[in-house]
Amino acid sequence: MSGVSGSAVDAPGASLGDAVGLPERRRTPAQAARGVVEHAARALGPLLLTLAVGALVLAATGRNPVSVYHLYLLQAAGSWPLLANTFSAATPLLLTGVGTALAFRAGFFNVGLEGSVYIGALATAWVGAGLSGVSGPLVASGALVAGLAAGAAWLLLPALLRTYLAIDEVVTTLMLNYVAIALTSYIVLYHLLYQTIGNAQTRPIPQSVQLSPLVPGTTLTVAAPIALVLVLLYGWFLRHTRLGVEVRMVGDNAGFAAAVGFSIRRAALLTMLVGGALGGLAGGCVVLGVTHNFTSGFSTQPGYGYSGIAIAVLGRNSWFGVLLAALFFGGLASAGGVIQLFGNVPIALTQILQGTLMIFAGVQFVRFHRRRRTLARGQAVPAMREQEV
Amino acid sequence: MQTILATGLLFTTPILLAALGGAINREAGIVNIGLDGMMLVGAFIAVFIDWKAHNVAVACLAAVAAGALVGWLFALPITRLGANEIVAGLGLALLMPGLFGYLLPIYFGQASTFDPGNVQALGVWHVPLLSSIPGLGPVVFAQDPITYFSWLAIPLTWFLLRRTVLGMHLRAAGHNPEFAVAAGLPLARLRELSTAIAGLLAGLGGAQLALATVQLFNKDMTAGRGFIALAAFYFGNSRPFLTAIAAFTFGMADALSIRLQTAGLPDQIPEMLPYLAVVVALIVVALRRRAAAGLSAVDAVLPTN
Amino acid sequence: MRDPRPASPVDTRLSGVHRRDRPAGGFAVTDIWKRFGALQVLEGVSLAAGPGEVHALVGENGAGKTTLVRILSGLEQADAGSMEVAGQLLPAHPSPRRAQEAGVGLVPQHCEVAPGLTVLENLALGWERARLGVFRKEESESFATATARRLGFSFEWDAAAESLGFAQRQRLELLRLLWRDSSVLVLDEPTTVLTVGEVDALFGVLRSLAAEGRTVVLITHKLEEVKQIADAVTVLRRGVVVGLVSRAELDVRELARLMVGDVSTPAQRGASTEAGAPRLRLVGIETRATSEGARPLHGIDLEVCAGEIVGIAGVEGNGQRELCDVVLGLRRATAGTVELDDQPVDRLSVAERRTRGVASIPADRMTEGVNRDARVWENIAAPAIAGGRATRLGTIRRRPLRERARRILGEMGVRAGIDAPVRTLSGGNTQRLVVGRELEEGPRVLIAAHPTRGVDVRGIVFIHEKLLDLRQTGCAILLVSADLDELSQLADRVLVMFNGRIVGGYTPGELDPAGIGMLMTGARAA
Repeated sequence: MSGVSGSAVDAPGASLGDAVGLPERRRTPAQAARGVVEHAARALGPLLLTLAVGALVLAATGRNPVSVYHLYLLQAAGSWPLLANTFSAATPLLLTGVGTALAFRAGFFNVGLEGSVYIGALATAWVGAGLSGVSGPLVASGALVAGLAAGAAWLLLPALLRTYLAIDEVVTTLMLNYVAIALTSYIVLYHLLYQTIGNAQTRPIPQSVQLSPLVPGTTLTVAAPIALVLVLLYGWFLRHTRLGVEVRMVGDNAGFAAAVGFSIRRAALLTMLVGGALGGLAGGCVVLGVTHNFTSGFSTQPGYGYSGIAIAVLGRNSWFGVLLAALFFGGLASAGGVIQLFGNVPIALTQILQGTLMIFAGVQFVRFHRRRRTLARGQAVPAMREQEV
Repeated sequence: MQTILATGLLFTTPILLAALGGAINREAGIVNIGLDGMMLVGAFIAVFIDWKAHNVAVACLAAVAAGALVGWLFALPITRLGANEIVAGLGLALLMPGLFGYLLPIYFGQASTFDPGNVQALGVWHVPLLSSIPGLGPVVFAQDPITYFSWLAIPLTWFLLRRTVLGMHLRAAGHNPEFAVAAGLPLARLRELSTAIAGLLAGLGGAQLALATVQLFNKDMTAGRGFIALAAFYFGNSRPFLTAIAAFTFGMADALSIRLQTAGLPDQIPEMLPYLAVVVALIVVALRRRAAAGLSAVDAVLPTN
Repeated sequence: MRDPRPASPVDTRLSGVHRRDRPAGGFAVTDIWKRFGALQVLEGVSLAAGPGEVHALVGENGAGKTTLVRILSGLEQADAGSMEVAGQLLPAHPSPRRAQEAGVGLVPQHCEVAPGLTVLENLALGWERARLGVFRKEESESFATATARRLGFSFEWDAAAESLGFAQRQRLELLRLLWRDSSVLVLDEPTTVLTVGEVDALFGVLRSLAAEGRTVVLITHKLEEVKQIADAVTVLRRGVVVGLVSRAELDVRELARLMVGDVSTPAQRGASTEAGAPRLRLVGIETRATSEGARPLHGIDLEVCAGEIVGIAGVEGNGQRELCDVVLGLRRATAGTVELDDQPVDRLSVAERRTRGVASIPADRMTEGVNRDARVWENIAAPAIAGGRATRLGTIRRRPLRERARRILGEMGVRAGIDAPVRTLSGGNTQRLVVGRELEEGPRVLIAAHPTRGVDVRGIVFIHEKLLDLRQTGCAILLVSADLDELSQLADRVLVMFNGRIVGGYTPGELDPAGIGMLMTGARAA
């Protein structure tokens, strides 16, 4: 934990009346209102900053930001099929967002879901295309389970290293991402190659195994409601289950959690492995529902896993925040192609917006965030990440 | 063999520069994952200014300045607004190629490459006397000036961190920020400065990347070198000499990979090398720490739950 | 690139002699007001001391002492009021740096160091002697050694700063003030981590510094220390100055009355019951030192019986915390066994031990006792949830837990909502919450570490009563405390720890304070 918060003896906020057990002051309406405004500012701040930066870039190059943004909006949500595509694009992001948020909530900086996405996708593609003579949905389920398992297994090493050797999980998971990309690329090229169209690809998934569109003409599959359910489950989990409370307590104050009997180890392993599983599932959903095979390097710019990190941060690890952020990212991604056609704007604008959003994702406008200490002249001390098991 | 060494040294330079910058940045408390983006900016500015001004030196200076500027701007949301440095770094590594992918078509009518032709190359200097040493001489001491500087940057970084007041302040800012503030140090400014330095060095690395061999710019030309630099300074635990060794190893692996591929080894293996090396190094260090404390690897100090 | 060196000229501190251009010592803060949210922490507080004076600032917890000196050092900003040092008015909201340059130096209660730097670098940080940005190591080293020797200190300048122990860190902090030529030295509760001998040494140093013309401000709640060293005393109570007393007029009882406002009666101990069977036993416990600075335990043997309160006395940092950790299960011993009801429990996790009836009031309530971000009822329910005692099929049963929380709050006299975030509670209420939670499940063994530290007098009485009640029900209580009065009031017998060992023991009333003190400082083993 970060150092002692000043003198415990003279802690600010000590109520004068506490000696006789006077009631703690309730928040005045003004204070409550300010709380809501702060909350909203914290949530919308990064978004507004991003839109402002994007507008700047557009205007500086002679495009009209308002019309471009309008175009984005139309393309993302202008009609049911378009909305379906947005949901479809958001589906893997919901999964990686929740997977990442889960670990973040427990205080573990798991950034390795990108690797899980790749490993899980490959596993799904292999199982999905490999089995024959068995009913389609069964194979599909099996393939997704394979993806889940593979994604989780991929994070086993970093999870163990963190739990038993106290090795920083940020580094290990980050490094393993690149290993996963190279590894899957290698496996496809040298062992599972079917064809190469630009990138190496595995054998296509048979029609019966593919996830069929819920809305014809779109890529929205049953994966979307599954992802949505998982997001809701995440919220319920944190509030109503023993393991969920453990995750929260460990994340808020590991020393306290350990002292009352929660298991930091269990929280670490649980959140990192489940996160990996969700990442693998995301990859599997993309394989079965969108690409119908595993294509080397499919999760690029910015990558489902990396987006998941941004989504978790933007959404402040809450189920609702993750939901909104994933939808937003999904809309951006799904609408991206059109602005090039209709708006005379290079498609790279989407990347600019995504990148900027990631940069501003964690921005706090409220100076007195509870985990920071503000010293003289409002100079905020960025919270250094500290974890001791 | 000699050409491999020469190529390896050439490849090492951008990685080394970015890694040293990243090490300085990390010592001050920011893990810079956006080195790739800063390198890219340096590459572009170098090519662009070289084309405009027909002067390599000016181009390199401009690249350095641009890198420093980007570094500083990148640091601001982190130090002043509380942005998350990991996510922001990933964002920067995405933003830069995006930005160029956006500007190139608009201003130059190109999708992803800027090749104006007529760009002066970064020449090769032969160090007098040393380059005449038989065997290694013509290989090691016939490099471009930025490469020589990158070697110089190793002891310079050490000196900066260990012997100057600024270095002390940076390290304090990184290791115990609250204490540093209580000592009256301007925490945010120190971190911004360290990020600007990282951008400066990465930008220089980008300039070398663009001007030493190809004299053109492509928005994907950094090809993850920034992340390899990250692996290098993590491997070296921000110690300049160790970081340099790691950078050199990774650069050599890159140079070797082409040769190895013709021998049948898939190039994904050397691709994975830097990252696996970091993980292995971390494990070794952790095990050694445990052993020194007299504990078995899995045991004792961790709580029983 | 911004020059990090201080704005004022650097090199006048050549021999540690006072700078000529700054008059020696003296300061005054006038009419300081400070509010934190809805709480008025300081109301029109004035404090002044002249050069060569040792001034004590006393008050209970929450009186505002630390806030006042933090304002003086620039770490907090006053809402109103003015400050002057050595006759010069300070700007309205000085930064820490500005306050230091004016001559104010603060030695905080918990002295920190910058881990990545050497001792010398830590000393000089921010005020380095440098030429062209390069740190002048040899010159700094010789000056530092000379200054240190003057005070009777010695350091290994090239060692890693984090290897310094508490007392050494404090000395380094003090040395740092001299390095910066501070004329006003403020020390916040400096003696909490010192042994009796170290306290005397510190006071000797302070007196000699005062003799040089500097001003020393000593924050303390230990009135004996005030008697020992202060030239004048300011008493704060609830943010207001209630007394300013000079040495001549000093009367400890009167000071105490001013501090507290009225005299309260200590808890009466019930008739001592026959101690029952041993509930908790430690046999030959050994632990290791860790990189975080844990004190290793050596050969700990102790036994606590049902209905018995065993006190652990000793200066903080001598292994008491590690001892508690071992009993609860937060730390694994490298040798020896912990037994509960004659069963070895070394392999059991914290949750399992808690299920067997172990409860713990941790020393550091803010960091270990509560989750400040969670709600009150969640904090109260946490051990039950962790132990799986409130779940059905993995889901928690909220309503019974909330009811229970409400009841406990009522019993403990905490008038706060169960849904309030704990961070909105005062320190005293937080401690009541912790105590209520730990006592509620009727523990068989209670580890109580400094249970009334930082609690007001009425709260202390309340908690003491609760502990004695618990004792009557047959609970075995291990009471760690730095307060010898508390131990003498509550404990049936007391063991003294020093350097990770139990060096002796006594029955309250049997041994005089001097004798206890000698055990605590290792001067004699009983």
